[in-house]
Amino acid sequence: MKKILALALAAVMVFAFAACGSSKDSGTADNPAAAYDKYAKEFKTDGKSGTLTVALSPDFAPMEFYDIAKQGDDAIVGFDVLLAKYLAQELDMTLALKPMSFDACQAAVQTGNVDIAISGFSWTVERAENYELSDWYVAGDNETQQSIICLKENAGKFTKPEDFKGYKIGYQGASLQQVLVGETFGDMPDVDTSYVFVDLGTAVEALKAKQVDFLAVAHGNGESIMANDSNIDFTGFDFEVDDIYKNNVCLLQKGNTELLEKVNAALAKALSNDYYSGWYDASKVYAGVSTLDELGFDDEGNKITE
Amino acid sequence: MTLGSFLTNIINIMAKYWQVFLLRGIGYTLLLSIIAVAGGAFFGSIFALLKRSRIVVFKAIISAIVSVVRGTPMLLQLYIGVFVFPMIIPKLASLPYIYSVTIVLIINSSAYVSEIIRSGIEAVDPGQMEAARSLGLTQHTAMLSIVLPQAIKNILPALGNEFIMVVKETSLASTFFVGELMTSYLLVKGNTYLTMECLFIVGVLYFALTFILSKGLAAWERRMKAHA
Repeated sequence: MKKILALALAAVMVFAFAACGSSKDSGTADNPAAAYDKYAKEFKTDGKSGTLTVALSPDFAPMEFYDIAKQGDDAIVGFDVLLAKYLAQELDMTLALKPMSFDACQAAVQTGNVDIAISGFSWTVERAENYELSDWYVAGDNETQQSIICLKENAGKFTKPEDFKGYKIGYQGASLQQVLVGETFGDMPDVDTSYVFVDLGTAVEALKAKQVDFLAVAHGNGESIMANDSNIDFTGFDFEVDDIYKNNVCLLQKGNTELLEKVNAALAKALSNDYYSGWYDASKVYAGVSTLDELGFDDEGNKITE
Repeated sequence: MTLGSFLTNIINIMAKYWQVFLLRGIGYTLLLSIIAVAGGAFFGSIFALLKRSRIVVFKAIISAIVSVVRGTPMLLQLYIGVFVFPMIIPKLASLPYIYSVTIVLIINSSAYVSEIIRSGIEAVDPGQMEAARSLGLTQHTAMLSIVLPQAIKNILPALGNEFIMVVKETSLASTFFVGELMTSYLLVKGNTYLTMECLFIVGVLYFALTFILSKGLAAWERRMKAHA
């Protein structure tokens, strides 16, 4: 009896102590973080005009995800993190990242718990009514290209909306894909669009278990999914995306127009200087979707420009 | 999905992310649970005492807290803790969410523990108190040296069960990415998009944790009985 107790206690202590320290970097020859780190280091995120708290949901590679080799706020990486760092620098503020679930991000902004939510939000009518939405920013093809994925055996066979008659299409709830599926298949009773998932990971499981035949996803997320599962592929069908949906926006508390103006000014500067594509490519490499070579980086993470 | 690929995926995930699950995940889960139950035992005792007091205001307040906490979902309480508490206590706003989450867990645990203590005290035969009083002990002494020692024997096993419950309930705190096991699941799933494999890993770990805890508690209970 004492032995069991002692063992249990020992186990508890080992874990508790181990939890305090540790973490080595998994240094590899070909460092996928190189390009990203280069961008991240350039930003000055300890400004003097107060703190900029940013809500994001870091389970959405390549837009925002975790790197376990890093510590604290640095462990949260991705395109939206670079944007947050850039905004903090432009506004001369100190950046504080607040990770939470996608739903909680909106509650956090609404209650004023954070200043701004940057988590791959698309523009929708409902959001525009209840929040101040920033001007759009470009998240590469993650937003401009919206696709439908399937198991490999169906790849390439479904290219127009009529092809999906008699099949089930799933999507993440409260997402742009839900809007697009509604617009494209809403008036086609033969297409079953009743499968709503709370997150993308669950949706992918349902696809693998053949509970749904197809999933509507942003192209960049689709690539992340395929990087981890060779059984999944694009159908070849892309949604027709209205310009208004093609980009992401930041969420601010209703009435917070002072910060909104500053954010919009910074976003306009980023757009005119074409910062976005470099950030997005670097994040894609980091998430394991593309390699440095494919996107034209050298080994130190410098973008090669002719 | 074949069994082979499922197991290979699990091995690959564990090779790359074992620290996230074993160190950070289990570490934070145990840390949160221990703080919640220790705080719950402390404040739960105070709650139970206040509820037994003759002052009606205390009784009413404690009854209200206990009813609300037991009658609403934990997830909702966490949302309120994280987003509403900082409006009341401004200092919380500048601290990481784990502080608000811990406060909610302690309040939640206190409500349940206070009920455990109350029922533990009430389960002691009223004859014990009557006998002590008739022998000339004061109400206070009779409570401390006759009733409470017997009540504790009822309370401790139930407190152990509460600990096991809290271990599982901390998983809801993952909504705010505080770092416990379910957060580990979210993080690794977000990077790999391998949901079932990650769920399987945290499932095994949660079971291992609660199994070890319940076996330890059972052994301890047997010892307590032997010494009775």
